[in-house]
Amino acid sequence: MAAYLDHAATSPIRPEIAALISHLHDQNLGNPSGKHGAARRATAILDSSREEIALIVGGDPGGVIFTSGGTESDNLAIFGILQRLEKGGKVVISQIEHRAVLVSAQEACDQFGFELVKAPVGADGVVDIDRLNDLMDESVVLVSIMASNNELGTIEPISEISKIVRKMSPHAIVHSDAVQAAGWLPIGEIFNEVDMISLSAHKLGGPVGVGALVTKKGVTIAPHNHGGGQERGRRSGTVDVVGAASLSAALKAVNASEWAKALTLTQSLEKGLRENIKGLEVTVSQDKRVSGTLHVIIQGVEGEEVLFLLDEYGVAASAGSACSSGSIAPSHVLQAIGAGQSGTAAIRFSLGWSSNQDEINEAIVATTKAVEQLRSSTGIPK
Amino acid sequence: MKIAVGMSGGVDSSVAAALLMEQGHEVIGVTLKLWGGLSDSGCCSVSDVEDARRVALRLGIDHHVWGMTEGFDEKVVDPYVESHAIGETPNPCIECNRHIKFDAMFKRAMRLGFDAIATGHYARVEKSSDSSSDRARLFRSVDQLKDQSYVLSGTDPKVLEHTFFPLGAMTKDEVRQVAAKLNFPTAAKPDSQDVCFILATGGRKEFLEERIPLTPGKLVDHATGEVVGEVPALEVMTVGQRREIGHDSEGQRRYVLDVNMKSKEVRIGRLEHLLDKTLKLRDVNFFDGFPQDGTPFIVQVSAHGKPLEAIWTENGVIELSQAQRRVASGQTVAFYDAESGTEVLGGGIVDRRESII
Repeated sequence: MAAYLDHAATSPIRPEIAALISHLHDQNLGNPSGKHGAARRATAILDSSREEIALIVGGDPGGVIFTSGGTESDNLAIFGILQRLEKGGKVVISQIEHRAVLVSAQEACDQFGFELVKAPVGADGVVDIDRLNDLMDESVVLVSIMASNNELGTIEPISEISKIVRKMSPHAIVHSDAVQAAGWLPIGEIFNEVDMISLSAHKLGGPVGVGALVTKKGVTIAPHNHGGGQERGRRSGTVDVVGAASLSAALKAVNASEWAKALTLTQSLEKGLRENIKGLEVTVSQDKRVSGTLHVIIQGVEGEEVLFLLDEYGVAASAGSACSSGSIAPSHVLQAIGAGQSGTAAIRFSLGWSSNQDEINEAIVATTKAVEQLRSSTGIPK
Repeated sequence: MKIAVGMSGGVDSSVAAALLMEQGHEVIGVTLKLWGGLSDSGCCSVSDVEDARRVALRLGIDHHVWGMTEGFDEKVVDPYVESHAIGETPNPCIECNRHIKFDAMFKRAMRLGFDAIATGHYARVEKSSDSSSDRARLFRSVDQLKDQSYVLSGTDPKVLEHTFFPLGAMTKDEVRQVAAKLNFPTAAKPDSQDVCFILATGGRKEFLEERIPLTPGKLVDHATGEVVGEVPALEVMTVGQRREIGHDSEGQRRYVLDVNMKSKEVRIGRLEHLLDKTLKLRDVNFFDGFPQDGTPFIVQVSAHGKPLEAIWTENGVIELSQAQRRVASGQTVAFYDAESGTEVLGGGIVDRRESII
């Protein structure tokens, strides 16, 4: 028995992408900056991948900067903007950003002299639009709010957020970490509202180690790493051509029928867990979350213990944030929504392209069994 | 049996895991994440976790990190700070054993369906099924120099019943030989010595300073009653200490005899003033109920202290057969049987006494 329900951490590679990678590695691709056939073959693949990604998100190929993944894209976006601006303005992010934004925004603000302001979210994990409105003024130079939260799976109202920013802070650049959203929401609609988005391949069934920052025309990014001037001088370092092709392939593979399937599966999971486990609450209701993520809070058990038993029963799930494991303090996301108190378990089930009903059934049985075992034992032997 | 072995990545716990595997047990390695702050063993003890994981990989067993920082703060760190704040000298490792390793970790292991836990401590357990007693019994290890029964003296026999100390019957040399044979990546890792959450650079003072206001005090010569100096922080002074207080007018070494937070005084004097034959205890626990007055015991008053003959008297006072250097309040006293001095029968905490001589 095995159920992999941790796609939001990393999704298994799609067979067609694994085949593509293997195929490309057999093509004797050179360094795209070379002056020979092998280099030209690489350049052709790189160029077409860039064009395909631009087409999918509705941007310009020149705005696609390939990176090593979501974290680098977020860092490049935030440092790349703040580094070239005069100090003194405000940077607005949400309370529940991924640490790649949370920490890099704090670091960049400290380094370059900006004030960091965190927009609050409601108990449902959605950015509070009215309070965001109150925070915005002409001094805001950068806004970075994720399109979907990695722990909870919330859908953030990027369109409304963008409208407020454009009206109240006309000079602000808007960035959105769309790493979690890209697999579950129309990415073109998100990009349309903002100036930059971060993408990562391995959340979509592509390989770990490649992502992109996609910028709109006219958005100038100062380089974060320096060297050979690749990616129009914005990200030096030999471009991972196979990775670029894989990211493009992963974005193309994502489709609405996967969303519909995942929605049915998470609904089934929610129903099964609710029926079998008392004291279980679904953190974000279905209308406010992406179809692939179900986050629950279970009373009277510890998250680490539930996950340990789920693992023993062959079910891979997560406490929500891969970076905070080992800590039992609630994550900043749970703190922001007032959840995750001691003596409760916060568990994230996240689905992906390979998920099926059998896995959901196994997860329901395993979670029920784990919670029953933990609740019935005090830990003191008879 | 399915056993959760507490692994620090050091030689002892690594060998303990290996021996249990050799005996045919199903072993899973567990490293506790106890401290969220800075530590000499790496930020958040990350290096310990990595070392333990490498050993687990070598052994071919699963390794898990169990986060217990909240319990550690509440049961170990906060009481440590509070104890110093009233002028005592606590032993946080004993509290950690009692409340975290042999309570929180144990209970978690039981809830998760393990049959037992194990650690690399040097001590021996005799399960009730192997003895005439109806409870598990705790004994000193075979290696007298490494014996850690003292720091385990607060462990509940119900927990010991489901606990293994695979190194209890071995010497450290034998353990090192096993480690070398198994070619553990961390075979040369030194034994941990100090309190894990206190940095060597800043010491206790810096740690306490960040948490409580420290109290300056006067150094008072016990013989003359004269004030002979000052100390910046009474909270870090320990009975028996001779560092930082210099010599007397005749060039004799001086020792801290008492730390009094009320009068803000540190009494200092010569070694002979430090010697004492009685110890008053609190929080006393005997596994088989309180003994009668006059019952003889062997006691140990520090982690590697020598065994002392003593007699239990009423009101938690023990009389030592020979005068010893006074033990700081907050320290643990372990009781051993008077005959062999090898079986732990209970323990207690040294209490403060108003009159010291």
